[in-house]
Amino acid sequence: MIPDLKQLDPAKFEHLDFDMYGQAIKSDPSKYFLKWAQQPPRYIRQDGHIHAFATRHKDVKFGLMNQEFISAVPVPGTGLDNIDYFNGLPIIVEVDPPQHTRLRRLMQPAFTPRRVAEAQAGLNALAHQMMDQLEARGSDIDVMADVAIPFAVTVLLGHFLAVPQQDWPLFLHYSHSMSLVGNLKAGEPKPKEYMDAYNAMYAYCEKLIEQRRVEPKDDLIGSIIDSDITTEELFATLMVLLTGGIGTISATIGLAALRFGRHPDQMELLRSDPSLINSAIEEVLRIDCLGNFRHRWAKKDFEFEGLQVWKGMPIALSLGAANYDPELYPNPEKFDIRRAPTDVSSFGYGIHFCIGQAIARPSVRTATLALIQRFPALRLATPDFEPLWGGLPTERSPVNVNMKIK
Amino acid sequence: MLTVNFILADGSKRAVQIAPGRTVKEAAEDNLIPGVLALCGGTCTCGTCHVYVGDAWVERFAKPSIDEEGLLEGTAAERREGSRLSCQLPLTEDMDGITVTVPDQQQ
Ligand code: HEM
Ligand code: FES
Repeated sequence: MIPDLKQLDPAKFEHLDFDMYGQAIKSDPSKYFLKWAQQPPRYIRQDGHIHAFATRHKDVKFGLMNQEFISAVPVPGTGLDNIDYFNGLPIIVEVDPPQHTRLRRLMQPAFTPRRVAEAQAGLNALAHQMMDQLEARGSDIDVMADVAIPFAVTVLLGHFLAVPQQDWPLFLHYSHSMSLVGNLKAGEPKPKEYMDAYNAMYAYCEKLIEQRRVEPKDDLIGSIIDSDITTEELFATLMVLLTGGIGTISATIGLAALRFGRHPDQMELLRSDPSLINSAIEEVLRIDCLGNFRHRWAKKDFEFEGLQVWKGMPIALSLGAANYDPELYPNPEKFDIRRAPTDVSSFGYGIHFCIGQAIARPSVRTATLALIQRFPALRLATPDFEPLWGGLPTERSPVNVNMKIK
Repeated sequence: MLTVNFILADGSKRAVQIAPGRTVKEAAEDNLIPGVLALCGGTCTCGTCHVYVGDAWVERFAKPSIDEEGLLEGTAAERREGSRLSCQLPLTEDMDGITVTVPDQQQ
């Protein structure tokens, strides 16, 4: 049994008024991360629920890798079960083995280097084509709407999943409608707009499976359908790849643009030495981690570096804070594109380690470098520009990144 | 303790000591051997801890699991005879002197 607040040592709590999903941490996480990166596991209260809270690099890594005490399956009633983006379909990030193993194996063929290389080949051309279009316009751009989102959509739907362009609206509509269910209370009915999009997508997957059984094709969808996959599984797989990919890649491109906009010296350094791009994007991933937190649940009672954790307790792991560990990354708040950081936690660890990272890294590199190289005058719309922050509650995703290119 | 002889992508050699029971990936990581990324931390999920185990040694390890096979199919550097994921290779006392070559690419 998880004891209630009064029975726990107040000294073991993160500040009780802190809102893990609030604007404060999204707009300026570094002041929290710098402190958290050195603090052992403690408790935190969010929406009335007590979580174990781990923020040091080694504790976050343990939390994501341990399978003996820790599960990825959400425990109902812990304040995190109201988000049902996929209408109850089995979602790879929320299952443990053996279900996880099966879903991961369905997706794995999508990520062979051949597929990734095929997608990559188009990235440069795509980025430069987008920059040509920008060049022909005025000076003001919103990096999210004008570069990051269309780039991510085209990479994933066009180059990677290779969905015929006439079918894109169906995918995008469903992906968009997912935001409608993000804030529902448990048990509340889903809005009609969401259910319509869901049903249309479901019918599409049904038809696709039938079609491909009669007429197989050697593309990515072909390699996924190539087994005794059910409609639910295909639906979930395609949507997880799509939605897991668009928002994350686009947000990271936006975070990179914002970061470089705030550090013109580092932007100039990259422009003068483009071979720094890999190290530069690792540094962006480190300092501007998209996921402030990921969640897990305790499978049994255990002690987490001195903190008692009870079966069923949610465990919040701060990927963002782990990236500020001063032992691994001296002066963690400093943005230094020559740092070449390793063991960055932004893609997670363990069996749920991001399956899309092999495509995410080159995508973010290509779009960011093209933007910086093509526009020597690139700068923030105003020197103190601050975006609106959106994305999932646990994420730090800019809604808009306004810049000038001329 | 046993010795693992790493041959790096640039041809240079590094001999390191490690206790039996630990993996080739841990031997690389503990000794900062460049080129073994091991991004997932060692759970056979990322395929970025790929190495070539020396001919004389490869038979001493248990055969790759289905998941290791799947990832070996898709390693960034070419798959060869001795290709294995180093996080799946626990070392035993009798492997003293094993040679392991690090590929030039992991992703
Ligand atoms: C910069 C971009 C990206 C970031 C920062 C990112 C981050 C992450 C993180 C932190 C996890 C682990 C979640 C956990 O353990 O709870 C994860 C898992 C996952 N990611 Fe990504 N991701 C990115 C891009 C992508 C792309 C492009 C795709 C697909 C094409 C993708 C698909 C997935 C999937 C399917 C999983 C679940 C894997 C599993 O549960 O086994 N991600 N991602
Ligand atoms: S460390 Fe990821 S597969 Fe070996």
